[in-house]
Amino acid sequence: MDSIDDLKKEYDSLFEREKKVDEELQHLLNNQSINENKFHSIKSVCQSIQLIFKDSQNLSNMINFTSNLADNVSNKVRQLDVAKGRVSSCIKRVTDILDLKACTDGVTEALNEEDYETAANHIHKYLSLDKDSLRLKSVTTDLAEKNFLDQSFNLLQESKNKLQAIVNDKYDQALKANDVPQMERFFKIFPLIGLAESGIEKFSNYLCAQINQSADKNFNVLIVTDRSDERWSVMFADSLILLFERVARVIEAYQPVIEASYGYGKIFLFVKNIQKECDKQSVRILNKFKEARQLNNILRNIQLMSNFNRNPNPGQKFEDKFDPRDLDELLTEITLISARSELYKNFITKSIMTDLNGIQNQNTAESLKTKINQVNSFINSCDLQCAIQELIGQYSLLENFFMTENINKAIQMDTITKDSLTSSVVDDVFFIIKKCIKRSLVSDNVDGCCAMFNNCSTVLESIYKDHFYSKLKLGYPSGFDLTQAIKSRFQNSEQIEKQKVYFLVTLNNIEKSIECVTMIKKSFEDYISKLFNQETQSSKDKLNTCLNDLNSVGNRLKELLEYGFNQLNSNEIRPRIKQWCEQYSVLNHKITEDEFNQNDSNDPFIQNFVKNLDQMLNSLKDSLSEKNKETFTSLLASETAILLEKSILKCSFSKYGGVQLDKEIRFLINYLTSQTSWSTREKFARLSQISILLSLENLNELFEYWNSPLAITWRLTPNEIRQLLLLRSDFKAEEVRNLKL
Amino acid sequence: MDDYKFLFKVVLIGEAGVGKTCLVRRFCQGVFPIGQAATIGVDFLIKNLEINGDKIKLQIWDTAGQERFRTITQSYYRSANAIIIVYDVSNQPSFDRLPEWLRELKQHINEKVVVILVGNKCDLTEGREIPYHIGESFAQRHNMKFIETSAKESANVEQIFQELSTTLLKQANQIFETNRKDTKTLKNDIQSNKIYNCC
Repeated sequence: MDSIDDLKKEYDSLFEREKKVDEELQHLLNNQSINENKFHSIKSVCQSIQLIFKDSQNLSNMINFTSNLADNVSNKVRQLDVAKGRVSSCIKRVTDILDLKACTDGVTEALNEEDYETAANHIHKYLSLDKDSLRLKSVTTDLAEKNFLDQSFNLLQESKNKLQAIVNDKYDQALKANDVPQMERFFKIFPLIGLAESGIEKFSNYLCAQINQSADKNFNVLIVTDRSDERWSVMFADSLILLFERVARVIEAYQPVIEASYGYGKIFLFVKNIQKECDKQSVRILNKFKEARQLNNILRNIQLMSNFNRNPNPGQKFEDKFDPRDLDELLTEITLISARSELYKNFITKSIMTDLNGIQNQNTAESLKTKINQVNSFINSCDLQCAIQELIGQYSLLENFFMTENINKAIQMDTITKDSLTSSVVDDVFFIIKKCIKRSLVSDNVDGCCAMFNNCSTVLESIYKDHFYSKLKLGYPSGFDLTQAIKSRFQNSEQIEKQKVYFLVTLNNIEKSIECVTMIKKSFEDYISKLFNQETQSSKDKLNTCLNDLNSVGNRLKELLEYGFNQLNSNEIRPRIKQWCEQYSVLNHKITEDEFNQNDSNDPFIQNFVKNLDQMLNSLKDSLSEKNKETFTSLLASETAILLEKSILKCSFSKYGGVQLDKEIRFLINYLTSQTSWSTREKFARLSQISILLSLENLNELFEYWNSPLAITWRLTPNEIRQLLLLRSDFKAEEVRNLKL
Repeated sequence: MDDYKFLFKVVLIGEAGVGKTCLVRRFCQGVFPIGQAATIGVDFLIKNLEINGDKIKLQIWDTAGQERFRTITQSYYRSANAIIIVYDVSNQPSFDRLPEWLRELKQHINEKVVVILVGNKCDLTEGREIPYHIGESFAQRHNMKFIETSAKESANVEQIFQELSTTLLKQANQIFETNRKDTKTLKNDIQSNKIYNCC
């Protein structure tokens, strides 16, 4: 330290430091309480952590302990389970052996006491024992047990054979003695002793014999029935229903018994056996039916007659051309026979199906399906169904003959009554068609109905349509056609009038027939969906497809109607309108304003033209049906539009000539619109536009209609417009050609 | 409604047991039914095909071959677009009866119907009784297409129906087109006549 200054300096710096230290100290002291607090809390946390640590150690110990315990327990349970399994198989074995013993003891005893039910139950139990496993296990065990088992088995096998022999024997005895309760008693025992199939066979043989007996009785009554009997005309159908009812009763009565004693799935076999007898009996009745009703004879005659109709041979004559009306009863009886066998078929199918569905734990749906297929194919191809199908084939031949002959007759007797627009043929023919289809539906046989629909379409498209065609081919006699004019010279006016009426009536006939076809189709569609409700989808499709063919009949008739109107058009409408239109082209259309005004009071053309149209419309209006009237008027309007346009193109116009035309076209449209329910404007669109073109003030005015916001939809091409504008004598050809369209 | 351009009806005929049902099942369902029972009456199946982009629907009528069911099956001939006559190459009588089948057909069908002759069961090489060329020349003589098939081994089955549908389709399209052209040209004629006849 050299000087005071230095000291002072030192002092100052020390003082500074002291101050700093003080401040720091103060700061630390201030924090003391907070730190202390923190320290305290840490301390307490430490304590709890120690506690947690201890607890978790405890817990882990406990879990370890429990897990060991659980392992132990489960081990024991496993052992117990094995033990239990052994115990239960042991118990089963003991029971089996006890059963076996009981069976062995019981069967002998029951046999001695002739208690066959008990004996059979013992045998049934024995048969259901798992013999192999009983024996297999006995290999390891002692010899005594093996001996016992072998003995028991042998004894039971013996008893089974014995019982089978006894039951067979007793059943046969009961059969001989006709002791039904005894037979039913043993019938129930068969399935218990492993003789299910032969049981069903034996018993159904007996039932067949029963059916045979009663069928014989019925058959004998049937063959002596004579014409005086009121059921004579359907006696074979009656006889069949008696048979079917008898068979159905048998099946109905024994189905529950069989299902109870034999289990489900055996009815098919049972029905199969019974059906054999049913086939035999029903075929016998059907053969007798054919013989008594001379079916083959009738079929042969029909064959000859239709061959004759196809290739008429003048040398050949049918003296005994029989009346198709005689077939009526026969046809009805066949449909009844068919309907009843369908009913019976449905019954047995249902019986077998409910039984099949009763089988528990079906192996697979697949096996059930094969079974069902087997059943269906059996039922459909049994003798009865084949015979019925054959009969239905013959029926469709007869019904077709009946229908065709009656329709031919209706055509021959076709008459026109005064107040009717149509002739008798339409009502008659559709009455016959409806009758025949309805009758075929009674048969309930899908193929028979389909064939009938096909035959109806054929007849309508051939004979019936041809009848109308032959009338229309002659044309409408109007005197305009050259060939007709020649013809008309040899015909008196009365005949001409008659032909006119025929022609128009034919148009109405066709129109009504189209309606009838649609109606028939519709009504039988509903009918079919109800009647064949239970049939398979493919059968329903088949029916509907055949019925739908009537649509094509409708289309053929529509084509024919169109042809008829074409005839009418070329014979009558077109020549007349053409003549009237030609008058237009001889008139002067290059008229002045004065002449135009004069025309107002003295019409040169249109009033007369409309009067002519009106006369033609009125002459046919009352002879045409509502729809045909529309067609006729529409045809008239179209022809007028076309022919008038042609005439206009032959003329030359002044502006006032064009205005005159415009007025005339409006007049014409108004008249035709008043005659129809539809709009005529469409047909006259071109003409209206032509009149606009011809009445233009000048060429520039055209652009008010062309390419302007108000432009109309033109039915005329630019070239046509130019051609038309050239008809105006005051328009310059060059300007018209240069128009930019 | 399903969508198709044309619907054709095809009817299969021929003696009992020549394999008509098997052919149809093979074609429509791709199976060969073993132990198929005799058809009674008429079976009906539908198959949709597409040929050259045109969708067509085939209505196939599989008829019973047995004589006693014949009257029912005859009612289907008239509306058929095509007829398939089937015989069994291992069965001489089924071939010998063909003229009779043709006679029966003639009574019921019009000339537009496509008829095709099919010799089925050509897999039976050992039992064959009718050589290919005999069948073929018979078909030629009667203006029919000819094909040998095996429903069992699925040989040529598709081809019958393809062949037949192609022919039918060509026919139908022709009619369809001419109809359209007719109406078109008719309209054109009327329009052009209107103008030029008179100027």
